[in-house]
Amino acid sequence: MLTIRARTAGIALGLLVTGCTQALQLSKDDSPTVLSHQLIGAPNPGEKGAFAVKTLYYGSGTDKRRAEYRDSVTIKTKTVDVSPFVSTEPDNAKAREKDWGFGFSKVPINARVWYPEGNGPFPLVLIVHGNHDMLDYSDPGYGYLGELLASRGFILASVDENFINGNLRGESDGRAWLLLKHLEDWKRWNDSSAGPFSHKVDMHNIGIMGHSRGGEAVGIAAAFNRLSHYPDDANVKFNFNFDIKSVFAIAPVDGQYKPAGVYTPIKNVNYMVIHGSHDGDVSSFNGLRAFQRIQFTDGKPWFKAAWYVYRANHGQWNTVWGNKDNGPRSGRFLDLRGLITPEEQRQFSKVVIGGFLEATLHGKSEYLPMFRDHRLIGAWLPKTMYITRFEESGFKSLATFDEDVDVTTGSVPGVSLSGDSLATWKEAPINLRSGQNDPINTNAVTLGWNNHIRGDDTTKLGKPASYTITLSDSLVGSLHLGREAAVYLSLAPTDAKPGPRAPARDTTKKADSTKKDEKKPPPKKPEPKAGKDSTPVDLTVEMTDASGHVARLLLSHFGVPRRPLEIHILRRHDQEQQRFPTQYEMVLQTYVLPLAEFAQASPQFDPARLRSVRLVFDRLVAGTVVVDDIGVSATAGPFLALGEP
Amino acid sequence: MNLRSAVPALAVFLTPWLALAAQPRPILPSVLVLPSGPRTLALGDVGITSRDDEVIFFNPAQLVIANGFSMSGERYAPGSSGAALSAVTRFNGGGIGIGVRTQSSDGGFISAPVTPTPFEQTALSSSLEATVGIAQAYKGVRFGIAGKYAEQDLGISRLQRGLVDVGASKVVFGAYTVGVAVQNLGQDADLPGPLEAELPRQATLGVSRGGPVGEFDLFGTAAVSWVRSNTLVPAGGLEVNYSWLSGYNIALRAGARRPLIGEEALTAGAGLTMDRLSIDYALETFTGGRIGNRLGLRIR
Repeated sequence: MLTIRARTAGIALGLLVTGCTQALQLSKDDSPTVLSHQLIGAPNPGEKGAFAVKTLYYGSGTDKRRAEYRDSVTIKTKTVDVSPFVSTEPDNAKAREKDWGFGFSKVPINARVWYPEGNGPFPLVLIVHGNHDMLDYSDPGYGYLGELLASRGFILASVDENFINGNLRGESDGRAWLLLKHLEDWKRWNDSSAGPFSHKVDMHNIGIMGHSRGGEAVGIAAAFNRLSHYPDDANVKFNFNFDIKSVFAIAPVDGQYKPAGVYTPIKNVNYMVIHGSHDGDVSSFNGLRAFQRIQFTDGKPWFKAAWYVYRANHGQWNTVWGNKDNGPRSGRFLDLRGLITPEEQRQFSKVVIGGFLEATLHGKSEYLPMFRDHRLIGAWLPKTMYITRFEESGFKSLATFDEDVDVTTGSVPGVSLSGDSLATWKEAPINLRSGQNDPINTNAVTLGWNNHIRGDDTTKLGKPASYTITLSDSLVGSLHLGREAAVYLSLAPTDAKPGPRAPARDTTKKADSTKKDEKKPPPKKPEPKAGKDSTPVDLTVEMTDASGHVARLLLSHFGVPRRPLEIHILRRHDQEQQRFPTQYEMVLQTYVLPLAEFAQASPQFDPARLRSVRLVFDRLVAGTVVVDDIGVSATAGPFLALGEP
Repeated sequence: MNLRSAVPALAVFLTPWLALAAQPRPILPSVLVLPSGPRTLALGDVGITSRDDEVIFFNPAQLVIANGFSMSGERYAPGSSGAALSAVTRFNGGGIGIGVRTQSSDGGFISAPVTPTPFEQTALSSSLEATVGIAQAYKGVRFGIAGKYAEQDLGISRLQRGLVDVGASKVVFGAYTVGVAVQNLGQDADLPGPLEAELPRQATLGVSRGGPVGEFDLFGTAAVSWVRSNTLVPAGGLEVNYSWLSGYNIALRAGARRPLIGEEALTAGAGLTMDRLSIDYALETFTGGRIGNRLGLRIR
């Protein structure tokens, strides 16, 4: 009897537990097809280079907790006062001072360095961790990048900011300022006549990288670097002005620090951000907001890129953090089954970080095309799905949907927008997955269509819906377009599917006679609830020149138009739905459409006299896409090399 | 308040209480000394620093942080049972709560083992407590007060009293919750006939601490009560929690108390939490090998 009871109780408990968890849900992996090409012939930037790697520590030499920064420092550094940027309640400050042996007014300049053997000068790259258990030291976790980059001719310093980890808020500006103080020391060491880095550092090619809160900090550091005063207290003066050329953010937060109440403006640097879809800590792609607001205003050749990595998490880019995005007991909250392996995730970061730094600090332009189209490096990337954004400094906006509420006008005079047979045509903000309170600060246009004509004949199709961007002659003249130029657009299909369109009106009938003669349409049959539509999304991009010559190519020629990637971060489905309004992040894919390829497809088409760009929704009967950042660039050439896979 | 002024104040406060404590008499209403919830019962019937709503029966100061609704019932033996119900919610930066406890027996059994009075052995009896409490925090210290109505029916006799509990609690050294409560302040019973009864007035000092240990969460609590018989009654318990999925938790509990007449020291129990719902079970041991089973449901 007891056995039966126990068994019943066991079954009930089992049902209870399994009923609260969910089966692993992932979007269908298309990487075997998408990543089946390797067009860049340069060496894999994720693989070790030719330099022998040396390491050392620099620091206070007095660190109570960190033996390496107490006993093993090759270069002793002076402490700095970070208190204008970092503060907390007196009790907490006292407790932290007891823990660390120093307060905010005397924090150390500590880092571990990987550097190449040789005379240099080598570009300098700093990397800084983000928030984590302050006693589970984060700075050793980027050793794999140190080994890689030093072997490829970079100096990498992994900066220790563990002493401002833990229970602090709003300290990202302090993290940024500390990075710049490290650079001051580096300048001194490079300028000195002796020491391991004497005249070995290329201070004209500096990169800064950060992870999580450190990812926000590098953007702030890029901004502070060019300011003369601290925005929150002008009594604190800055005098940095380093040649920071490259900023790389790994799964950053954004807006935890807002100088003067606004998101940190970032200008005139090469910028790249990466984020994992299965990030259990920063669970929305916050870096997209930073990507959107970066501006190139000085006429120099900069670019920015954002990569969304399906099934990557927050912590596996740091070997100390691993898959514990939610603390030591992450397994209770987070569904870890869907993650790519730590090795795959780090292989990805080695490839993109290596490629980004090679391109921007070593000037190796052969790596530039990978940021325009990731399909060019299929052999280097781990087999998962990627959505990528890209823009270079030659980009001129035609329609970014941010300026006004008129859906027919573009971003600059001379651009007009029109829709034909669209079921949905609206402009609205894009929000991060975490909800309406977390906008990316950009608007986009949503275009929905259904080419079916309503009625009994389910095969009857109307003319394909379309959306057209028309340019005036004077505007085209000012854009200096030619065969080197490209049209940019960023687009993401959604799962929304408008209903069939109404039949065209018979305009030959008189208005008043129709009422009498017209039969009432039969009551609408409820449409069966369809499962998720897995039909591939595609559309035709049609370019027309001033002479009316038309060139058409499929959008899929330039990238993968992919339906939203399903995300289930939490083990509990109910908690996931409660926390996130959608089960996907709205990340638009940037498509760069070289005008030369259109001219090749239709030789009569003259790119220099481009008149209109038309998106023709003729490849899928019904669907919806979100489109943003339509523009052109006359200087995309270096990124267009190698064409499409 | 400095030490010089605190000592006379404490003396004034305790003197009448100590004077009344000299003579052992039956304790009534009996429900006031019976368990009020399966979690606290399993922890040696220590609840002075509890964060559950049943803390209203132990220390009204903790209403500041307690939350939820719970009910529980216990069958002591055939013909003898008890039940409790309590609810706490936030109010004006603090908390307010209500609680009701009952106990009854059909006279065929020693109904309330903790108070084996002649009445309980010979007659139908029932006992009721209804409590309303309120608490506020001031400078990191929680203060609470509860007013209660308590009655005892003994055959044709009925004892009715209005009583007051006061308490305070504070988190010290970042991790320990310390609580103190003085309970059942009111006029002693005055029953017809030769028997006299007294209220179960008591002062309790307790402490608790919880925290993660590997994959488990441990919670320990201990208290010492100064009861009217002028004795110190220590008690305590330990709880081990394990969660395998966010929001789900199982707990095993064991406690020990200084047994009153009719009781044994050991208490134990278990609980299952599913998000805001908890189902808890506790057992208490009585003399003669008897066991009282208490089952409760809690919604947070």
